[in-house]
Amino acid sequence: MTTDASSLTRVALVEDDPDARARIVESIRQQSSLQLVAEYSTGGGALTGLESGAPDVLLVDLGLPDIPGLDIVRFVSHRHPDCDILVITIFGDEANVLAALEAGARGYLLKGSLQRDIALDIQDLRNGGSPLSPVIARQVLKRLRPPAPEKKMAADEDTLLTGRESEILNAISRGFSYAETAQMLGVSVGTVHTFLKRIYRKLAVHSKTEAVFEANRLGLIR
Amino acid sequence: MRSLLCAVALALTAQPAHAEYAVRVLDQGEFVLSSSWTPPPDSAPWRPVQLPDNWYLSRPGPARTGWYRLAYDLSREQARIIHSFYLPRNSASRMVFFSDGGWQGNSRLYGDPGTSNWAPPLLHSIAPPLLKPGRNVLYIRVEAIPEMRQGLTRVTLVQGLDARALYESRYVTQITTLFMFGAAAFFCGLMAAAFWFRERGETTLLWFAVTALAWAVATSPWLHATFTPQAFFHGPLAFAVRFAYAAPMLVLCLRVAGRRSHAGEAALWGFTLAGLGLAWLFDDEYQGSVITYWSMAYLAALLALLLVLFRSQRGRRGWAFWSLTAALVLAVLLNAHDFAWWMGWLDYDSFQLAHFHIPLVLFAIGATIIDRHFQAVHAVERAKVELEGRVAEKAREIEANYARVQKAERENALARERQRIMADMHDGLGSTLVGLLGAVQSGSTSQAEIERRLHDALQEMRLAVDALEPTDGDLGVILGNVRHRMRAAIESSGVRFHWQVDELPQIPSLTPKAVLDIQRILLEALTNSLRHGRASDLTVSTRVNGSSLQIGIADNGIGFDQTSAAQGRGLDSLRRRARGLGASVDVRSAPGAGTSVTLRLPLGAR
Repeated sequence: MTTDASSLTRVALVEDDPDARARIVESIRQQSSLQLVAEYSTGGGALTGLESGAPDVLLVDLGLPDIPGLDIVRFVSHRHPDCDILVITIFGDEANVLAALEAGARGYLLKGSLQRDIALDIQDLRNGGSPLSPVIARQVLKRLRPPAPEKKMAADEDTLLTGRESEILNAISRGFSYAETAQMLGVSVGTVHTFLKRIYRKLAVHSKTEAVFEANRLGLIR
Repeated sequence: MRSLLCAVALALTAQPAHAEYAVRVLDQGEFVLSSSWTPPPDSAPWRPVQLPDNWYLSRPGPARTGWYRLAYDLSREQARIIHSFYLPRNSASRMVFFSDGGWQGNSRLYGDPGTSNWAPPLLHSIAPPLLKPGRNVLYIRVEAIPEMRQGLTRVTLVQGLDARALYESRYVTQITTLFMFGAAAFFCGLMAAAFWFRERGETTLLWFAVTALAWAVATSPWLHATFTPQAFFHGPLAFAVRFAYAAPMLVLCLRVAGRRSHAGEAALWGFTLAGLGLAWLFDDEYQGSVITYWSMAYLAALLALLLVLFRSQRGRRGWAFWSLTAALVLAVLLNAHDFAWWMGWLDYDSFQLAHFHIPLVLFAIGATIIDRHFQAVHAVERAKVELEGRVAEKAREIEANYARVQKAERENALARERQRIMADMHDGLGSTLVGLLGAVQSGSTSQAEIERRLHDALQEMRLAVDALEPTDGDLGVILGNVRHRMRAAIESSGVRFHWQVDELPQIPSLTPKAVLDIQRILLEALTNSLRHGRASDLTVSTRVNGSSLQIGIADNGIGFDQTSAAQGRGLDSLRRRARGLGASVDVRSAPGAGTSVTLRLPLGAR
């Protein structure tokens, strides 16, 4: 740990399975730009440990024995908005990942990935966001798509997609990489990352107002 | 104490002495036609007469005036006691009483000699100064209309004031009951009218109100007989209201009996209107005939009504029916009684009772209406309970059906999924794991190879999970997902990857199994190319060609000999999967010329 502390990405891990934890820890150690600052085997321990301060990146297993991993995601993203959270899942299935994104996560890590890939994913995350799967991109598109103009409400504006954001999500949902998407839209990859960050934020904000939104849609609130 | 004994002794001695004169009915007298205002002299042509004297029978014709002379003897003691004359009915247009040469000024008179309707009794007292021992004479001047059954009743002479009891009992029967019934009918009529006002459809209530109020009006002119102008109230109005209550009552009875004969009701109204008109047209002399015909018609109508009623409602005769029938039977009897009196067939002094029938009938009808109302209410309540029961039952049935259908669908879906997963496990993961186990057991396979194959198995599983994701059959997403899953493999291979995928159609009916098969075909083709192709460029392209979608995976690698058996097995599995989809796979390759795999997927077929 002789490298300049400011350029290091500080990583914390919440994972109950010792083997999986060991593998991830190992893969982080191998990456010189990453620094493991804490590891927790229980959700309760993580909540206590992350109360006062958070690392740059937090890896959270969704299937913890004591409390739901999503609760930790929610807690940390609310408490430390600058902390990037990756959830750890076996399949990367839509239901879990979307819930995690809505809770404030920035992406996910597949359990059982090659160790090299774990480090890559973390780097991707720091660069702009982990790759969004087409299935999830499509769901986000569906969820945040602006309704017909006449049904639109002022309050929705900050949580609904702009035209550009929709275009980006559409491209990703059809399997294009960020670079290809950037090229198709005539923007830089960095711009795509910026857009994605904004989309993630919208998703999180949107999920909080979703109950209200749903009630609006059903005409329960006027 | 002594004085008390004296009083008792006096009372005992006095009683037998007066007993023989206490009450004497004067039914013999003399009569002379004369309109003089003082009693005619003895020289006038007095003729003996029997009381009661009904002029309709004894001297029919126009209205006249005559004098009666009634003689009675009194002892010296009796002449010192006040006497009363009691007449059961005021039976003439006007009566004036004289006692033996002295004007009646000193006597007291109960009852109103002017009231000719409803026939109140009269009580007429004579003070001792007007009485003398021996023969006394009572002169009564009578103005009477024979047609109206006027004349003179028997005169009862009562010693002292005991006649008051006779008077009161007659008055109660003839007059007090009348007023009571009138007042009761008035309030019942108002109530019925109020109810009808809320329920305009209930015409029975309207007829009830009209009948009751007309009857109340019919009784009202005699509430204060001395005050009312005779000429109007005792003549035309009396007739008019008689007609006014009779017709609505008959209509009402018909309706209550369940008969709504328009002709019958029209006839009744015609009869009423004709009667009203006639009553106003005729003089006193003809009113008698009008009453006769009216009474006959009314009696006939009542009898007819009774017949109609008795022939109706067979099989469902409740107490309401019987009470109405009983009321009508009584009505017929009471009216028949009064009609017989009117015709002179009964004693002239008899009671007049017809007015009792109105409250009886009104009561019976009111009971019927209330009975019907409650029956209707109960029927509605029963119907409501029954309906609620049925609705609840239907709801339960629908719920149960729905639950059954849902359960069946769920079970069906579960069974399909189980089948699919079983098949997948068997073909894919199962065989991969068995192969792996064999490799590990033999020890001949390298660690790297085992790791690779384990990753393949995991990839296989993830693909299976992906196939279950909600893609709504969006082919773009389905293809995109394959690339996403292979991202790491593609990136680490160093190949230049070209993703030339257009906007692709959506096939919402695509099943998870079909999605998985498409993804597997693409995955296998891509994996083959990456592992064996040694290509520098790998292109995935799509083209919609009419009703089919072509997905091409082409590389510029080393290619292979399509005739070699080892390659053939892999191609066979691709083709088998494609056939299951209704699709086809076209593989073109030759050593050194790259490989191109084309999947042709029919659109809309699935």
